Amino acid sequence: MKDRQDPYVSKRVKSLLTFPGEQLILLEREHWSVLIIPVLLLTFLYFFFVIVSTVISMYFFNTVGYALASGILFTLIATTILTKMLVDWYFHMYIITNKKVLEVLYSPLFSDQINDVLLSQVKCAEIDAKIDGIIKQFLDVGDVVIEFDKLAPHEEFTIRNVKFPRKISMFLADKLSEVTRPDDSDSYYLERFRRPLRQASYINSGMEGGGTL
Amino acid sequence: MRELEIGIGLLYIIVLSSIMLYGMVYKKAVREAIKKMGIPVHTGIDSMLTTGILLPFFATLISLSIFVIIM
Repeated sequence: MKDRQDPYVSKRVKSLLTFPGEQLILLEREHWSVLIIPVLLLTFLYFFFVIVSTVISMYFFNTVGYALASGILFTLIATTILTKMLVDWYFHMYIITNKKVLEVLYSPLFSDQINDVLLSQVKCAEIDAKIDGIIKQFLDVGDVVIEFDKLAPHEEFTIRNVKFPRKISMFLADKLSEVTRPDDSDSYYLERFRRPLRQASYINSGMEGGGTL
Repeated sequence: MRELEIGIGLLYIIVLSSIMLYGMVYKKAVREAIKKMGIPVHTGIDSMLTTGILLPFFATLISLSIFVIIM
């Protein structure tokens, strides 16, 4: 995780680090494998249209000129769409700092969306890693789901299709436990999690005459 | 038939020029976005953007030349 984190720290996304003393913990993009299916689809459509236009040009107009012209046009359209796909992928980022969690969905010239969760307003967070499908298992690509305040009406933040989701979830669990824990953290967590155990043990001891914790 | 061909040729050049114009505006927008967000541009993306502009540019130029020669 250290290797993945170091190049990002203090050099990137400076404009999104708005709070004083805010430090970047993690910056992730979706894995490049998410581009495979759209690129394959685009390639298929490109060849389909080029072949159809060539056939029409050769059989109906008896000239290569139209085929060449339409070939150039379809190549340009395909390149334009491919460029947009790559740029959109490049600008879709998940950023986690010690103050907030951000999802940046920026499509230059078209749309701009930033979803963020302020960690100062979060009491507890649950982090799950999820890998669905054979190809994703093979590539070790999956989702990291961060659920904030699970006991309250909860908010879910999903980091989709990232490489090494298990490692990232463990890394985030470590980092967010430092960040989201309240000031009197030890007493807070002890009270929250040990009380039910104590109550259960008292009940057991009362019924069976056993010892307490 | 001749008029139709000229019309199609003109329309074709207009479409190519529009793609070229879009490419130039898009590249500018991406560069602005990169500056705004403070992310260093990836060389692959940069060359892709450059190609995305140069390709329509040369295609328009070639088409225009062919069109002028035909006329």
